Order: sequence, then C-alpha cells, then structure tokens
Amino acid sequence: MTPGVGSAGGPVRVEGATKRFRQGTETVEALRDATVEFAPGAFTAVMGASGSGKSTLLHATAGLTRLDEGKVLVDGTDLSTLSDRALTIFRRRRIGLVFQAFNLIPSLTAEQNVTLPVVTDGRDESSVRDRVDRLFDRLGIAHRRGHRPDALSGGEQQRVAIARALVTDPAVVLADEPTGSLDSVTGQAICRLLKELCAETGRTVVVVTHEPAVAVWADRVVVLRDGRILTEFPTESFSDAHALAAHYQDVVAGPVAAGEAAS
Amino acid sequence: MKSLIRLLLADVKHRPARTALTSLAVILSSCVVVWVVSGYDALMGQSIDENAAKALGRFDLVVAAGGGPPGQGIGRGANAAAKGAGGPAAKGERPDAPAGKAGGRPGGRGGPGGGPGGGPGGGVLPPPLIASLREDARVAEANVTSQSRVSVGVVDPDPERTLLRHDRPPVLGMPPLDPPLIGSDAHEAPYELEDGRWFDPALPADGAREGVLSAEYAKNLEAKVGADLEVNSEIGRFVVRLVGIVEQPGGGGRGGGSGQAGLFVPPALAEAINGYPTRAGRVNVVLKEGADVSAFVKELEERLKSRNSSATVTDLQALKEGMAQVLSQMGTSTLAYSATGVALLAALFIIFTTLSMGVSERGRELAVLRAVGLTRGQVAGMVFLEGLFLALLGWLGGLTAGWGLLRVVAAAKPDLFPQGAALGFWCVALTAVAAVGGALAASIQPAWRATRVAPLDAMGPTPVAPPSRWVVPAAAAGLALIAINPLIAFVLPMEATARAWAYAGLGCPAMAIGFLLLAPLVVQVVEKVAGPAVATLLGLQPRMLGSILSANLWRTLGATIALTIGLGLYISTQTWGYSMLAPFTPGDWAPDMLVGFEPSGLPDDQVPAVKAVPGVIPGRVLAMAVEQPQVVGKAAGTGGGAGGTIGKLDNVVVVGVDVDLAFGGDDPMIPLTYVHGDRDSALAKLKQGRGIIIPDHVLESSGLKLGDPLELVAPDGPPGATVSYPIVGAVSLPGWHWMTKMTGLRRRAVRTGALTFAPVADVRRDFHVDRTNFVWLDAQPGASADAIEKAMQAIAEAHGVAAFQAPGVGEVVSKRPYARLTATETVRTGIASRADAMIWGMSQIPLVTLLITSLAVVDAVASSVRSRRWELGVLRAVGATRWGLVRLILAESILIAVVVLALGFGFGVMAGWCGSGMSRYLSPFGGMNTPLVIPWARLWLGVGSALVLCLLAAIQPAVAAGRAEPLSLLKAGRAAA
Repeated sequence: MTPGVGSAGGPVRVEGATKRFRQGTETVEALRDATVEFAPGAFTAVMGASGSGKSTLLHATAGLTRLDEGKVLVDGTDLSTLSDRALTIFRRRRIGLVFQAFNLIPSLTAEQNVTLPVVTDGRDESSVRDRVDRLFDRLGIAHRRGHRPDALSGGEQQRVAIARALVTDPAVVLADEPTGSLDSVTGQAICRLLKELCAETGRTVVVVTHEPAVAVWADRVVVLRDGRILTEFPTESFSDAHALAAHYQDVVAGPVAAGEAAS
Repeated sequence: MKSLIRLLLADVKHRPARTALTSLAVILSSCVVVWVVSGYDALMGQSIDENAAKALGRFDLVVAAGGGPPGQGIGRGANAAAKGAGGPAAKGERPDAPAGKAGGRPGGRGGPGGGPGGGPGGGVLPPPLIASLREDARVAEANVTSQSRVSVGVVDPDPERTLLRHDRPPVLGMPPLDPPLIGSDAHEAPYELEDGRWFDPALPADGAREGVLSAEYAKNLEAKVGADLEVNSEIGRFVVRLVGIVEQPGGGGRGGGSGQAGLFVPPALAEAINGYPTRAGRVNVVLKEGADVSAFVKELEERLKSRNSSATVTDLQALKEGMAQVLSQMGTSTLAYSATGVALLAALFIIFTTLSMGVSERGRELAVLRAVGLTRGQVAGMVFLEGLFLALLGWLGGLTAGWGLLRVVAAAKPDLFPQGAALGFWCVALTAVAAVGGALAASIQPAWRATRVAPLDAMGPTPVAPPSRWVVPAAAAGLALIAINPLIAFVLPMEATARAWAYAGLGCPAMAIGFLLLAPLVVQVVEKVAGPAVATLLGLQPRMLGSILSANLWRTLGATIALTIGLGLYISTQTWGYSMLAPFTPGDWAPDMLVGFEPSGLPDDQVPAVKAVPGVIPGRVLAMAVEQPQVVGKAAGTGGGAGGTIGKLDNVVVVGVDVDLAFGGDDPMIPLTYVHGDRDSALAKLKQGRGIIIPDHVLESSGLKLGDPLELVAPDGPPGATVSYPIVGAVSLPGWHWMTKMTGLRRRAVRTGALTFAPVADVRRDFHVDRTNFVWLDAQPGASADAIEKAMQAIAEAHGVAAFQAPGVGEVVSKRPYARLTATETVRTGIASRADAMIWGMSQIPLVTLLITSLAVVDAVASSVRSRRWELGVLRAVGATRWGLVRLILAESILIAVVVLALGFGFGVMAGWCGSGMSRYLSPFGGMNTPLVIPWARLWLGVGSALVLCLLAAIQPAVAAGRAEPLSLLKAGRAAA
C-alpha cells in the first residue's frame, strides 16, 4: 500500500435490491431482488446490456437513489436508514464517485476540484495537502493542478475526477463508465490506474461498464440481465478482453443461469 | 461556508459579464432611491429651516383671524376673500365668532389651515384685540393687514387688449392665481426689499396710488419697479404704480402656516379698490428687544382661549411644525417610499432572473455538487450567498454612484441643495432595504429549485425539462386572484375604511401574485401564437421558435416580469390618471360658453341683446339665475368622500333655468343623462313646482333618494327660513366641479357640494335673485370667444347696476360692471394640460424602472445564447448563416417583448382601473364614477420603450453568436453539456 494514498476498503453488500421506475403508464423494474457483495479490496466490474440495471445498481450503491425494497450496506452502514442529509455526508466521506462525463466544476481549478469534498466537509485543505500532492503525483497530473477543466484533456479530467474520488479516503470507489468519454488508449490507461490504486490501497472499486476491454482489468465480473444478477465470474482465467467478451456473450445469451434462478 | 464562498467567487470570476450586468441593474435601482430620498431630505431641510424664517419676515409672531362657518361671512357680489382674512362678514355674524368646521383652533397655535392666512369664510380680528396688542408694553410694532382677491396685471398700452384675464376681477371660487391685495399699515417692508422702496401707509386713496409686489408675482407678471399695474376688483379698475419688490416667503402650503405674499398697498387704497371698509384679518407683531417671544405667545393664546376666540397665534416654531406637516401631506415622503418600493421590486426581479438562470444553466454542476457531498442546505446557501453578493455589490455601488450624482448636481445647481448634498440615514437604510431585501426575496425560489436537483442528474446527460403541467392550474389560480381586486373596488358592499384596507392589503397583492401565476401561460401562448408570426417576419422557420421561451421558462419569466414591473406601472399610472380625469372633465352636457354678469347681473329685457350678439346662436341662449344657498336639515353634511369637508352637502350651487329650453325637446341645451329617474318625469315635476336635479354621485354618497328634499337657506334671507326642493332626478354631470370653480358659478366663493338645476322662477323667488346673472349659450362654429366676450362686456357696461348691497358691509358702489366669458373647451383644455403635466411627473419613475430592468433582458438573452451554444453550432454546421443566427436571437427578444407587452398591459389596465374605482371611496370629492379610460396615444411611450429595450438587449449576444466560429460553438456547447 502506498502510504498516504488510502487505506483498505470496506465491504459493500447489496441485499434483495428492487427499484421500480414509472415510464408513462407502465412500471418498470430496473432492479429485481438483486443481491451481490463486492469484496473488500477487490476490483469488480458490473456488466450488462443497456437496460439491464447495472447503472441502477451503482446508483443505489452510491446512495444516489433509494431502493424500493432491499438494502445497501457500505462499510457496515445501511444506507436506507439514513436521512438525505446524513446520506449526503456519508457519501461525501465514505464513497468516491467517478462519472462518465468527468463532471468537474468548470469554475474551479483541478486542485480545487479535488479538494472540494474536503472543503465541503468543513475541513481545512491543509489537512489533506500531503494526500493531494501524492494523488496528483501518482496520477501524473501534478503539472496541471492549477488549470481549469476547460484547459485539460479528457484523460487529464478523468484523472482529476479519480483524485477527487480518492481524496477523502473513501470505503469504496464507484465508477460509472469511466472510460465512456475517452479514446481506447486513454481508457486503458485509466483502467490500469484504477487497478493499481485498488491493489496499492486495498480499496474496494466497482466499475460499471459494457466494455469487455474495461472489465478484463477487474478481479471479478458481475453480470446483470433484466434487473437480476445473472452470474458472477472471476476474470483471471481470461487471457484478454476478447476471451472475456466471448464468455460474456455466452452467459448473456444462454438459458437462465443458476445464479439468476437462485435470485 | 468557506466552500460556498469559494464556489461563489470562482463562479463570479468564471462569468464576469453576468455579475456585472446584474450588479449594474441593482446599482441603478439604488441610485434612483438615493436621488429621490436625498431630494426629499433636501426639500424638508431647506423648506423648514429657511422658509419658516422667511415666512415670518421681520416679525416675531403673527395673530390671524379664524374662519367662520362655511356658507357665511361671504358677500354676494363682493370679493369674498375666501382664503384671505378680512372679507366681509355675513349679516349678523360676530367677527370673532367661534371656529367653525373650517377654522383654526380657538386661541390655538397656527398651523396648516389655521395659520396667519386666516380660515375660509374671511374671519376678522376684533378691534379691541388689535388695540390691546398695540398698547402692550412689550410690543414694538403691530402691523395690521387685510387681504382680498383681485386681478393684477401690468398695464398694457395697447387699447385693443382689453380682454386679458387680468382685466377681469378674479373668479369667485378659484384659488388666487393672481396676487392677493394686501392692505398694510406697516411703515417698513415686512420682508426684505429686493428692489425699490416701501410706500407711506398714510397715503390717501385719492393721492398717489402706490404698491409693492412680492418677488415671484413680480417675476410672473414681468413687472419691474416703476411699472403701472392694473388692478381689477369687483367694483372697478384701478392703476397702481409699482414702487418696490419684496422677497416672497416660501410656501408652506395652502391656507396657513405661510407668510403673506401679494400686492401690498396702503389701507386707504385697499378700501377704495375693494369698495368697502377694510377689516383686519391679521396682525404682524414685532416685540421689543429682550421680550420673551415664547412667553408672550403663551400668554396671548391663553387670553384668546379665555375669550373663546378663533384667532390663532403663529411664531417660528409653530411655522416649522406647520410646514413639516404640510410637506408630509404633500406626499413627498410617500414618493420616497414609492421609489424604494419600485426599486425593491426591480432589484428583486433582476436578481431573481440572474439566480434563476444560474440554477438552470448549472443544473449538472449542482447535481455533481450534490453527488460529491453538498447537502441541500449547502446548495441553497450557495444561491442565497450569490444573491446577497450581487445585492451588496449593487447597494454599495449604488450609494457611491448616487452620492457622486448628488455632488455633481449640487455643484452645478447649488440652489437645489443649499445645505450641500449628503447621504442621509434614511437614504442609506432605504437603499439597503431595496437591495438586500430584494436579493433575499429573489433567492428563495431559485434556492428551492437548486435543492430539487437530484445528485443522480449528474450521472446522465442534461435532463430535458418535462412539459410543465402546473402552468394551466397556476394560470387558473392567477385569474382567480386577479379577480379579487375588481370585486373589492366595484362589487362587494363594504364600509369605506374596510374597503380601503381590503384593497391595499388583499386586492393589490392578490392581483400582483395573480399576474405572476398567469405569466407562464402567457409565455406559452405568446410563443405559440406570436412565434410563427415573428418567424415569418424575420424569415425564420417557425419550428425554430417553437419552444424558444418555454425551454427555459424560469429564465424567461424572470426577465419578462422584471420588465413588466416598469411597463405595468407606467400603463397603470396613465390609465389611473386619465380615468380619474374623466369625471372632472366637463362632459357634453355643458353648452359652449358661460357668461357671468357681475356684480349684479342683467335685466331680463337685455337677454334679447345677448341673443343678438354675432356668433351666438339666438335660439340657444339660456338666461339663468344662480345662487349658492346653504343646505340644512337631514341632508346637510352628508355625502363627500374621504377626509374633511370637501364634497359635503353644506351648500349647493343652484342654477335656475327655463326647464323646457334647458332639458326638453329633441335637442336640449343641457342634454343630461339620467342615472336615477328619467327626463320626462323630472321635467313634469319641475314644471309643477319646486324640484331639483343633482349629480348622481352626490345622491348616492349622501344616502338620499329621489323625492327626498334638499332644505336650502338663502344666503341673504331671514335666518332660519328654509325652502324645500325635492330631488326629481340624479344625472351624470362630469366636470361640474371645474365648471363651478373656473366660471364664477360659486357665488359665495367656498367649495360647493353639488351643481344643481331648478326652475328659474323658483330660484329667483326663493333666493332673491332679481336679474339674470349668468347666461349659457351655444356659439356658431368658428365664432370668436374674444369677440363675443367683448360684445357681452358692452352690454354689461350699458346695463349693469352700479350700487349693490354687500352683506355685512352695506351698500357698495361698483365702478365698472363686467361680463366674464368662459368657454367650456377652455376649461377642458386647462384641466387636460394640468393633468398631462401631473401624470407625466408620476410616470417618470416607472419609465426609469423600465430602463433599469431592461438589463435583466440582456442577461436573459445572453444566458439563452450560452445555453444553446451547441445547438447554434449545429445550425451553423448544417448551413445556417451568421445573419440567420442573429435573427434567431432577435426573434427571442421580440417574443420576450410581446410577453412583456401582454403582461404589462393587462396588469397596468387592471391596476389603473381598480385604482380609479377606489377613488369613489378614497377621494375627498367622494363618489365620483370613474369610467375606464385607456389613453392609447400616451401608452406608446412605454410600449415603444419596452420593445426598443428588448431589441437593444439582444444586440450584443446576437452579434457575439453570429461572429463565433461554428467549431467554437460546438465545443463550448459540448463542454457545457
């Protein structure tokens, strides 16, 4: 573990998660009784087709949306028991978020974007000065810390976003399609970074993606279909993204797997 | 808090133009308040400190006679000096009678209405009081003055110019437009001599005729020392040599608490001009060196009180108090508060627009902030902080700019600010209220919206706002709220005070909120209806304007409402003003010209001579007998409106006419519109015996009904003798107030409760009117009023009665009878020009507000362009020209202008209509029905200004967008998304 960059991640468990949305006159179940555990310190990829519920699973895990049934436990805390304010503060301190669209505040510099959760928490920036310095160094953007987002490339912006996600030493980092707005080379670089950070810090990292090239970096893949957990499998047996993709296609196209039937 | 401040400062640095525009608008709003309030402060300070001393002149105190009961103390055919002291008393009246309704407090200190000018009705100081003042060991001088009404002008050598206004005695009932005639026995000028010298008070009337004029009057008449002045009284024409000009004391208001100003002449000359012995109405007192003024005043007041005297004593302190009260009554403080209120609203909506646009533009940013851990409270705090920041910037900038403006004006025009220009406490306080209060109020809704942004919104593309389902229900609620005010003003039965409270506390706020709720629907309707038309006009595809306003409804609303404040207030001022004017403008009922024959009328056998005057339509001459009797009995004192005695039925002007000629036939000379009763039954009753026709609002406000009697007392009749005139009809008589005021119909000079009509024979008999004293006539088209008046004058001179009995005075010999012609059109023109000036004065703040709030439109259009950069980039990429983009942005601005026009017109007309309707209950004239008058020709200024401002607001954003390269638009837009 690289000192100062973070500490071990906490367990994240989703139990019996159900989430319904109204679309016109119909009700759609984006998640149906989904139960999954993201192992502490592991890098997990969540895959599924469009509309499979993978993003909803991530949103629920991040506390960005409330489940209709079931619960989410992050580092031992049941998010469903928290008020909006408490949940916000919990998310600020214990959950790091990385978005597809980077979502940096355009009027703040890179450094200010990174320290935003700390300052919002009422703490002085000096309390995390060392950590910020190390994050910038580790992410290779120290020379860009004074620039605003509109002066940064896509890859640099995503690195700043990752730094922001890590600055409060969260229990879990949740990334929603973190390479979706990047070219393949930059995307691979980001994936390597996430993998390394996960390994170095023992932090729990969950990435939602539809790209096998991203999922192959994970330790494990969780597959969703029609709002249910279809199956989970380790990635170590797959030599590359193509192999993983082929297996993924088999899984998704095949009959109902045991995991799905069980849930 | 630190994080919020950081976010705020970063955003300000990131969007400097928006901050600058909003701050500038708030600065200008604050500037308006600084200017108005400082002007009020200067006026108050200046008038009270300096003018109080000026008003007293060289005297230490003034003792003035109080007024008698209304309707008395006035001589027929004699100059009644209604506003001045020293007029003739009615028969049997004690000169120092106890104060009536219009007089000052007995033995009380002078103040407005009870001060040195004396009360209405012409009170007189008793000789023993004057003698005791002169004999008092502490008194160095007791200067006795009398005051009466005359016409004064510079003698014109051109003999043809004989019909100028100053060639006629003053009209009874008119305020003294001419300088009053002041008989003074002072050996020195009462005020500082600016030119020339004072006269010898012992000069006999048949000696040198000398006078001294107050400075402003001299300026108005363009009279210089050495000029000959022509003085016309009721009894004749006199030439007086102007030997001096004195400083004119500042007006502390009408009726009292002010110094004397006019044409000063020796007492003997005043008597000769008036035609009767002068009676003292005022004594100006100088105390000897070392005498205690306050003690003297106190002792004198006690003495007067013990004698139950209506005389008042005024010293410097009392004058100051009176002036302060009058200034307050003038509404200058109201103006200051009104300006503050308007500025508050303007600042509120400007800041609302900016904050609202900020929330809309930064939707994703807010979602990200929520996602990374800002609570709802912190997000709301961000918005409030931004609002407060904009307000403080604007407030401080406004104070600085306002102070600078005052300094510049004070340097250029020092007489406007004799005590220098400074920001007073109230100025600073009111601008703070306007800016900060407006900001806080404006922040509420945007802050609430910001807290509604879900952190989940950060995860996907910028969500498209769903169609607003609340627009129609909100509009329905808005219409219901708008309906409340007209119900209060016109429909619901209510006592006047409760109605006034309901109007101010419920009706007006409900109406304002109602239009706010209606605004979103108006935006959508304008977009749908006017959008295609504007698109066609500018050569655009209609579908491009399909949701140009409603795509960001809050932004559009903020800008349009900000502008609507100014336009709505302007239209409401114009509508209210001209609606209020309507009942005071003589209607079609009044024949073309009214001729009064003074002092004693014409014999009946001369009426044919009047008919034969060239230009007069012979068959359209109505010989009348007019008197102004007192009303007694049940009806007495009823009617009128808010405040005091105005409009109360204490007396009426009764016009005795040939009822057939006046009201009968297919083309009556006085075509009346009956509101209660009808012409046929009224005519029939009038022919049977005594009957009277009165104005409709007088009937309604007094609680009288058709058939109820008016008990009238002839001014010169035996005491207690009344005659009963049953009411046979109530008619719409717009403008009757001004007709009586400007024509001499008010025979007894005081205000009257109604203009009424009765059969001429009854009026002559009951009120002892022996001759025709007025004639109403219709003239040939193109006939010259001057020529007709000249002919009437010849008739008057040939047949006027020289000697007549003036009550309380005895026989008065008139040296020159006269005929006064007043054309109805002249009355209308005179009223209209005064009203135009007044209404224009009231419209200026709304127009300034319109100008200031146009900055909100600049902000809104700029924001709209910013949020649509990607879309504009795509349009350019697929082939739209630069000019096409410019037209698109101009189209949005034009549509904003149309929304503003619709809302502003609706609000303005409704507010003006309801305001004028409330005048029936709040106006001192009471009960006047005010029709809705929309002065279309005058609305163009506000409407045109709004349209031009909207177009100007769009120019910079449109040009900037048109000049940008397509790629930069695409990139900038994508980054924002």
